[in-house]
Amino acid sequence: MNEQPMNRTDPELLISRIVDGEATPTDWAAFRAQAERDASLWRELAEAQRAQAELSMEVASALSVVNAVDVPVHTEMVRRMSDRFRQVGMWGGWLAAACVGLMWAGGQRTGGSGTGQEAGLVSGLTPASALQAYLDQGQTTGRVIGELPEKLLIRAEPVTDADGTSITGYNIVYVRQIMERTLVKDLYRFGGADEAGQPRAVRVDLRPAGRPM
Amino acid sequence: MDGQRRQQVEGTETGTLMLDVAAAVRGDADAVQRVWMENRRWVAAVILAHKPREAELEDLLQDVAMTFVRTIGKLRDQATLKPWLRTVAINAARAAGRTTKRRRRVMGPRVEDVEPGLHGERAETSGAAEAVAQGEQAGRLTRLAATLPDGYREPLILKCVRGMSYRQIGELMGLPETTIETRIARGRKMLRELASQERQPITGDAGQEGVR
Repeated sequence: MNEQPMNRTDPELLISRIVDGEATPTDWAAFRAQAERDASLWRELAEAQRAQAELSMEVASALSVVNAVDVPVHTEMVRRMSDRFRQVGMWGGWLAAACVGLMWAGGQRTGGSGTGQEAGLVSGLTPASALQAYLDQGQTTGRVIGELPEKLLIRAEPVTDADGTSITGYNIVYVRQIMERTLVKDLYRFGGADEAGQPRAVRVDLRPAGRPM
Repeated sequence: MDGQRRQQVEGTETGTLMLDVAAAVRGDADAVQRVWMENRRWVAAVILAHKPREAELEDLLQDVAMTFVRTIGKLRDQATLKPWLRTVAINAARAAGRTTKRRRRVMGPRVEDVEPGLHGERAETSGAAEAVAQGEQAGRLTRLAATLPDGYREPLILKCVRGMSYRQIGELMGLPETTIETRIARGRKMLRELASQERQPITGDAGQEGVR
């Protein structure tokens, strides 16, 4: 392909600029001057304008389908929401595993029998009182900051009576949000994606206010 | 962004578009819709310039729309929206081209794949082929333009999209304005030469009026 720029007074370039409506008064003056010496340039200009009009009509006709193509925003939003729910489900699993791990670790730290501690803590407690005990003890040790008042709704479905004719209530699946504090050695955040499209962890260097960077 | 600065940015067409792009990147569904509608015409023109003849423009544009809505949130630099969309469009068109080549290898050419001259011969015995031949005539210049090298074809087609200037085409393609105008001028000359070699030249009575 010839990438050499054309001479500004090349009649082909001038015709093209005129056809495209990009010609300056200087371009027009240059074209008229050349056309005075070679009148066939007027015919070439007319042919070029006619060809451009024909091509533009054909392209416009081909592009007439464009208005029928909208972005599937709604479909995409539903897909993203489903992904989020799946992720919550996945993290819910990890949360459960983490709780089991913490209980085991707590048992080890106390130096006593893990099984005995676990049995002593859990037996005889309802889920609500066990949770309250966790919150109270966590706040005493500084691990738990508190529970957020908002709960995240995951799923709601009606519960019907035995006949299935009337709704007696709703089954609600939700996430409780409990803020905890912990000490870590390093801090990372997800910043962009690597070449495989996977989230990339970037180390964060936070410094106390007033310290030089 | 403070109120005064926002007003200044919104005061220009480009500024409004940039705000829309920023909102679309953040996941604003209405902004995603607006940015798409603002750009889909030229995106379709890019696909038209690169797609194989038998691929449906509407299908490919739908593919690009899907990619756009799924990945706009990952766009880091809003200024790169148009070059990015162009790349997505070209990739969609080329993928269709690869599919077509595989199909031809396996199944042989379809009636619309064969050369225009053959359409004429078949038209005597086949109504379907006749319709194809008429379609060929109706889109004669776009068919001829499809034989031009990529670098000439794309700017020439883009220039047919309402309101696209040399500068805007240059921004899309990542080329200087002077290169774009040179390519369009050369592409246009090649197209006229190709057309003049066909049986029916593009110049008619109307083209001769008042030119001498």
